Amino acid sequence: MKFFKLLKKEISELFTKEIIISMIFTVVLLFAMGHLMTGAMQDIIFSDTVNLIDCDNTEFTSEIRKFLEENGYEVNLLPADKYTGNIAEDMKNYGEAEAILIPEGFTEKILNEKKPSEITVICSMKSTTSVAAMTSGASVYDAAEGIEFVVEKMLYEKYGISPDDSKFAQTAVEVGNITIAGEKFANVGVEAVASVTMMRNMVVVMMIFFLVLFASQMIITAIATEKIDKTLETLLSAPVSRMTIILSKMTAAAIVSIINAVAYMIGFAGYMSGMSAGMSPEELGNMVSSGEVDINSAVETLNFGLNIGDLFLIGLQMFMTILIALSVSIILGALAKDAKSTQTLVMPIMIAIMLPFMMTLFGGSSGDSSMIDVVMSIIPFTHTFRALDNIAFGNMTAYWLGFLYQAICLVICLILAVRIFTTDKIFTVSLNFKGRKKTNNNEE
Amino acid sequence: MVTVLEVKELSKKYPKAEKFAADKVSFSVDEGDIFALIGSNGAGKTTTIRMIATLLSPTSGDAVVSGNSILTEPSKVRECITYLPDEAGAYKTMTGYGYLKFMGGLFTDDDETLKKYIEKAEAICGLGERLNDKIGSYSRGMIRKLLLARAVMTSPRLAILDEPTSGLDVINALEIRNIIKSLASQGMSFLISSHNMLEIEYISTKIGIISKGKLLVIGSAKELKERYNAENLEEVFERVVKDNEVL
Repeated sequence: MKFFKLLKKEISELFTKEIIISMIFTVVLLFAMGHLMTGAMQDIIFSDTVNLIDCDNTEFTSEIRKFLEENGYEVNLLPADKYTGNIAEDMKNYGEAEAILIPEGFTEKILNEKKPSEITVICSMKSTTSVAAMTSGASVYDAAEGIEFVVEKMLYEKYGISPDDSKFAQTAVEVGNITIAGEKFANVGVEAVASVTMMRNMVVVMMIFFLVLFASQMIITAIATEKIDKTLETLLSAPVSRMTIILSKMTAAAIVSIINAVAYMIGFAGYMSGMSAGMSPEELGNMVSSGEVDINSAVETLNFGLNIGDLFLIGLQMFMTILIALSVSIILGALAKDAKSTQTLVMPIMIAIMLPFMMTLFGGSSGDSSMIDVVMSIIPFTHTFRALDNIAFGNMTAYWLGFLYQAICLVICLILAVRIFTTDKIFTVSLNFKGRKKTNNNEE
Repeated sequence: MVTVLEVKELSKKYPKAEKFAADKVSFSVDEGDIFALIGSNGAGKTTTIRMIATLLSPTSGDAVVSGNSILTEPSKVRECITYLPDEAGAYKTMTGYGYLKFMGGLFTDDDETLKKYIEKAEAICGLGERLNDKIGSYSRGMIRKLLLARAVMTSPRLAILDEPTSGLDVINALEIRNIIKSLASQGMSFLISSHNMLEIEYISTKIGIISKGKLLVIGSAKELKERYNAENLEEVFERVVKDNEVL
C-alpha cells in the first residue's frame, strides 16, 4: 500500500505538464515527418509515368511504347520535334524532370546495321542533400531496363535473330545517362552524382543541426541558471552594460557550440568514412566513375563543387542561424522559472531545427509553393539548410532572399532579447505551462 | 552629514497586479548609516531595494544615489552601489578567489586596484585557504560571507543587502552583522532588508517599517520604541502594522 502511495507521488512528479506537452509535440513532429517522407517515397516508388522522347518514331519504337504500356507504365510521349539537343533547356521546355531519349536512327542501327544503339536516361537532380536524390529516377531506370528486355525479346521473336546472335540481342540496347542540374548537364547517372554530393553535404547539414542545438541548450541553461541562482541580479547591478552581458553570453555559447559541433563532426566523419569504406567524396567519385565517365569532373560540370566563395556563403548563413538561435534562446532562457522548465524551453528551438533538418534529409528542397513549403520557409533555420542547394543549383535570388529574411528575424529577436535584458522583464516574466506567460507580481 | 541615498515617492506596480508593490516610498540614507527596511513577506522590501539597485524600473518616483538618478543615470548608480540579493548563489565552478577577481574586474580595469579589492575581501570573509577551493564545495555560511565580502570589497557608497543573514546559523549571522557594523563605522552606507527584528535592532541606525507597499514609519530603534511605548522592535512592528490595518 505504501508502495502505491509512493508510486502515485513519483508519477505525479514525473508526469508533468511539460512532459505531456513534449510528448504531444513529439507525436505531431513524427507524424509530420512521416507525412513528408510518404510524399517523397511515393514519388520514388509508385511513379508509373515514363516520359519518352522518341526521335526515331518507327514501328519498332512504337512496339517498345506498347510494351511499356502493357507492363503498367503510362507513357507520356514528349514532342520529339521540340528536342534540340540542349537537354537542360529541352527538359525545362517540356516541364519534366525525367525522360528516356530514343535517338534518331535507333531502329536502323539495331535492325539493319546489327549494332547496339543507345537510349539515354535523363534525370534532373533536385537536391544535393536529400536521400530522395539518391533514388530519384528509379522508375525511369526501371523503364529503361524494360526497353532493354523488350528489344531483346522482339529481336528473337519478331525479327528472327538466331540464338547464335544472342550476345548482340542481349546488348542491342545500351543505356546512357544524363544528369541535369539547373542549366547544366553531364553524362553521368544521377545516383552516382548524388552519392558524392550527399556524402559531402550531409556533414554540413549535421553540423548546422548540432550547432543550433548545442548553442541553444547552452544559452538557455546559462541564463536560466543565472536567473534561478540570482547571480544574474548581482551581474546586472554591476557597472557593466546589459549589451556587453548579452554579447559575452552569445559569443561564449557560439564558441563552445562550434567546438562541440566540430568534435561531433569529427566523430560523424569517422562514421561516414566507415560507411564509405574509408573513402573521401573524391575517392568515392573515382570509384563510381567508370570508363570515360569521371564522376568528380561531372560534379564540377554540374556546378556541385564547393569553392571558397560557396563555403563563405554557406558559412554566412550558418552564422546567421547561430545568432538567431542564440537570441531566441536568450528570450527563452529569461522565461525560465526553475531548473525543470529549462528542459521544456529548449523544445521550440528543437522543433524549429528538427523540421527543416528532416525535410532537408528526406524531403529535399522542393522549391514549390506547397503549403508545407511555405510553412517551412517561415522557420528561419530552413534557409540555411536550403543554402546548399540554392548555391549548388545557382538559385542565388532564393539564397539572398533567405538571407534577408534571416537578417530580419535576427534583428527582431535581438531587439526582443535586448529589451528583455534592459527592462525589468528579465525578473518579472516567466512562463507557466498553463499556456500563457506569467507575470511575477507577487514580489516583496 | 552627506546623504548617500534619497528615495522620493518611489512606486512600483507590476503588470496585471491590482495593487502597488511599493507605494510612494520615501526615505534617505546618510553616510555611515545602516538603514533597515523591515516588513512581512510581500510587504514591498525587495521591490523597493531592486528599484534602487536599478534592476526594476519604477512606475513613478525616483531615487538618487550619490547625486545620480536611477531613472536617468542607472549606469552611474551602478558604479556607486553593490547589491547582495536574498539567497543569492555564486558561480559554483569558480574558486572563491576566481569569483572575487571576476566580480572585482567588473568594477575596475586596474590590476593594483583589483588586488586591493581582493585583499580586502579576503580579510572580510575570513575564508583563508578555502578561497582556493571551488565555490561548489562551500557551505551556505561560507557562500554568504564570500558574497558579502564581494559586496563591500569595492567600498561602494551604498551597499544594498537583501536579507544578509537569512538561513545562517547564529555564529555566521553574528560574524556578518559585525562586519556590517564595522564597515559602517568606517563610513560605508548600508540599505538592508530583513525579517529579523533582533538583528535590525542590533545593527541599524535607522529603521523603516513597510507594509503593503507603504513605508509607515521611520526612526532609530530607540525612537520607535519610545514612540510606540514598546519594549522591543517586534512590538513596535506589530503595533505599526495593526494601526495601519485599522486605518
